[in-house]
Amino acid sequence: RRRNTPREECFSAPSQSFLGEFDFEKNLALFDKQAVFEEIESSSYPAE
Amino acid sequence: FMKKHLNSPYEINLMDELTLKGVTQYYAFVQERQKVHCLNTLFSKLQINQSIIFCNSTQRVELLAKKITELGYSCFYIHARMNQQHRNRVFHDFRAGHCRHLVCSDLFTRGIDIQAVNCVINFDFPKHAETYLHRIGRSGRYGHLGIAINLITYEDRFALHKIEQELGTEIKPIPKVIDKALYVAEYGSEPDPDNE
Repeated sequence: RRRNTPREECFSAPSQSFLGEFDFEKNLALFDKQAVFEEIESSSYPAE
Repeated sequence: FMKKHLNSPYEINLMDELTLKGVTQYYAFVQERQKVHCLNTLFSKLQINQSIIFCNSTQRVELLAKKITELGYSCFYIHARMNQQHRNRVFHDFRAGHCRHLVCSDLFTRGIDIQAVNCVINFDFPKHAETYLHRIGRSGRYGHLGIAINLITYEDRFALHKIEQELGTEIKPIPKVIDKALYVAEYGSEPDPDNE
């Protein structure tokens, strides 16, 4: 049912690795919402 | 039918009573493995009075609650596999303010009506608009002040698109600084005399 990606991998990292601040802006830049939405709208993905 | 059989009915728990009005909705783009790090940063940056954090499975609720505790934050958790009595107890204690954070799966069917909750975090983005509305929506009895933050992975892009379309709402990228007036009562336009 679920894809074979490691869905639990977010829980395995040691807490020490979270001490620095998460870089929201850098990550947001990796996702062009507008472009992704246009792609979804223009393609014929079955509606789930 | 309604008119014929119901004599001035008192309606509760209807979908259209839930509203997203007044809830500022943001998303943060993350990879699965960055979610806890992202959450930890949100906890340290936001002025959270009380928060509810949603996961998509009971197993993930337990794992996340454990992780949050490891990080040094107090939290309760509830999910569908706990017995009702235990759930009621935890929920009651959370409502009473015994704990700042509540991690849970989808078991609220009426939206959240705890006034002290000013921040809802979708650790896992839901698949359906109805679920999203139940998590984020307010029943309107209490003030409409609050923020919702969605952790979005690339796999969530279709659900994000679908939910925005179906609810006619917009979930914006999280800004560098979130205006406290959007979710902290004493900064807002709807000051709450009971809060303090």
